[in-house]
Amino acid sequence: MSEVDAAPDRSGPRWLQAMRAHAAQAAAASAEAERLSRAPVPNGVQPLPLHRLYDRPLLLAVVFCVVYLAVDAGTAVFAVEPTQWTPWNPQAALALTLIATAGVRFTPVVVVAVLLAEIVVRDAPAGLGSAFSALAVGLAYSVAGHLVHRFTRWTRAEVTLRDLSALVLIAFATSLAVAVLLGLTHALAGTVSLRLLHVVSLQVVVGEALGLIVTAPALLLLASGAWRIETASTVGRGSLGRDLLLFAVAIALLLLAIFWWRPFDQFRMSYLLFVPMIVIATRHGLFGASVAVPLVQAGMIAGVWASAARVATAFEYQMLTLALALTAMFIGLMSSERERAAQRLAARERELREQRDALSETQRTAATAELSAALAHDLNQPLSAIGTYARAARLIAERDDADRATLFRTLEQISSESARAGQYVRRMRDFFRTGAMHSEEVRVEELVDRGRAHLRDRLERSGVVFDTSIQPGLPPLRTDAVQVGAVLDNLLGNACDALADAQRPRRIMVAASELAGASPPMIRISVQDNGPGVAPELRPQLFKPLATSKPHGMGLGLALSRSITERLGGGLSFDDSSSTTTFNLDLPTDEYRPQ
Amino acid sequence: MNTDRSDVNFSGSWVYVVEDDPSVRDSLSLLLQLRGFSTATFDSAEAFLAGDALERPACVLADVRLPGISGLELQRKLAGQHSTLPFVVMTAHGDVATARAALRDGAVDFLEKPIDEQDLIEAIKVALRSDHAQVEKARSRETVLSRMQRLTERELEVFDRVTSGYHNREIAEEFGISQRTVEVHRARVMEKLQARRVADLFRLRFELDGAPAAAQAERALS
Repeated sequence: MSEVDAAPDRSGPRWLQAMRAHAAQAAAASAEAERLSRAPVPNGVQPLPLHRLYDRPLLLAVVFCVVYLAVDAGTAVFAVEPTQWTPWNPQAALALTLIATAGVRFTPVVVVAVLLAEIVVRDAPAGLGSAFSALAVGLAYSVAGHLVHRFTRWTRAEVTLRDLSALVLIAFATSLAVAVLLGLTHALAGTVSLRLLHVVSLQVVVGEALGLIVTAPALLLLASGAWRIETASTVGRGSLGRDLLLFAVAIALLLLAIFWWRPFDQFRMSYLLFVPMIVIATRHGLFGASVAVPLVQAGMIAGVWASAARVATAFEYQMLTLALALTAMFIGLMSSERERAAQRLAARERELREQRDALSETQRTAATAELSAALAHDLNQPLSAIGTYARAARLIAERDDADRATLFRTLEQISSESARAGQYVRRMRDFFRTGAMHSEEVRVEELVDRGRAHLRDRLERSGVVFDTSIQPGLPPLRTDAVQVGAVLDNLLGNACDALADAQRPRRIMVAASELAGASPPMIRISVQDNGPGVAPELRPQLFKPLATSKPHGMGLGLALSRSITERLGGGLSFDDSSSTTTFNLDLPTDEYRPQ
Repeated sequence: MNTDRSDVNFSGSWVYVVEDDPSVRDSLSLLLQLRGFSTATFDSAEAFLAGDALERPACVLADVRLPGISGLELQRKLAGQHSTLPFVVMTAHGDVATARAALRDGAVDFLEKPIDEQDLIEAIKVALRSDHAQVEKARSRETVLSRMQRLTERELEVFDRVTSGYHNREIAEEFGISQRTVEVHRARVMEKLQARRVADLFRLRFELDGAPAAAQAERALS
């Protein structure tokens, strides 16, 4: 993606910059598409420097042969005498990887590499027998590689249980095929007595399978670049490099203890190797396990070699490593899959949250519409009065015997009405502005006092007694005081309206106490009046939008009050059980953070 | 202003303003007074219903949304009491449903706040003109009824038969009196009811019988 990263020229007018950026992006996209179409790696995998090699088949073939020979030579320890077969064959994995990533057209290269290895490393006679066995083995590797490419997703996508199982199966099948082919060759050549053939074959099977299972996953992932897909699932679990270093140290110490210090029989101690293996597999998933397993294998070979153990012991260690490798791979796979599932779940949750946010945005829009209707109504009153007063003032002024006192009074009215209109606008602006909530600490007493002050005139006019019962020592609320104040004003206004025609004594009671057992902690403010009550048939409608038929006040309505309260993390309800008309306003004492 | 001439006709007519917003109420009252109407203000429908001995001719200018009884309910209540008081409703919510309901229940007009003076005066005039007609009709009906009081039993019978389309001869036969006597009774009836022609008797009969229908017809024509 280097083309994209290349910083576009920042000079010139904005449109020119935009155009350049666009052109750069388009060029990068087409270059990228072209490279992807040439690369043997399917879409979704970012190419590596290694892939330049894939563009030069001849160089790749040569490099492969050299590496193949080097690895074969490097791991040719404990060669089983008659067949010169080694207990660990990472070069088999190399061959399989080449075919799986570069295609079956490299089969001849594999055959040549195997033949060369037979001759150079194992000193096999450069005869027809060697050629035949190399052809057979090379073909077996090639088929295995093709199978991996064709039937698994190792080189292109997230590895699943099926892919891992398929690789293990292919590894064993290949090993068996190779063992049979080699056994036949040697039997025909007479280099192995028929009596020993099955023992040797078993060693070949295990050695081959081990080489494939231990090395192929790491090679496949690295060569194809698919390791990026695998590591994507373990991002955030710490650096793989650091953990591998720690792992190597742990393994080295364990191996030292097993082969050198030897507190017990060396083989028994080796089960301790499972521990760091499982740790790395759990932390870093399949890719972590894939890289760690060859390290253990290498250490083990070194240990066995250094302690000059017998070949039979080496075979035991082979079996152990096989178990270790399989365990680690499967645990790693499970870890990767679990992480991927968790990531998918998180993504889904994020999506759901976005949907919910969009929904609440819709609700907010609905509330705003309702608010606008209320604003239109409330602004209309002073505007209407202003218009009418102005006409009246004009009529007075037109007369010859203009009554100056009335004229002045009328003009005075006009200015006070315009002030009233301004007040409405300010209050509405407070609402809209606080749509982005800002929370502050506010005491319940303070809120209730403010509500009482707003209502003072009406309370006095209607002869309503205003009582409060606030539990002492209540914690302050952390909420939007302006919005809560508006909701409380609305509830108190409703109570006042209900009492307008009620018999005396008329009484409003505001109580506040901690809401028992609420999580997060809440304070309940209940507003009660001893008015005639809400008709039962009206109760279900109470919180429906536009249910209000109130002529004055802000006309916010209970629906809007409830939606404001819920946005603040609280609740607003009508108390059905109470004998008097009671509305409960529940508010959190801790700051509410909408998720 | 071209309405000035007709203003004179309505001077002394009453407009009852029912509005809960004090400023709107006060401003409307002031403007209407300056336009030559007498006004009385009420802050609720209840207050309006409690006030008695309402002057006529008059009309009601009421807000749709009032605390307690709403403007529409007030209109319906008055209609239920066979009041013919014309209604003009106003609202700060220009919603079609309320307007339709008000007009269906017989409101003269529906005004949206902020109220245009011309619309207001126009609506008030239509309402008052209608009430004037009502008052006139009621007055003439009362006059007719008081004159009818002066008729004797026989004269009432003769009035009934004559206005039902019977000839003198048929009436004489029915009551067993002479045609001459019937003519004398008829002359008395016309004299007492101040009718110059027989057609006038028919008009009176129509006025008494078909008062509601006639009133409706007349309002429709106005």
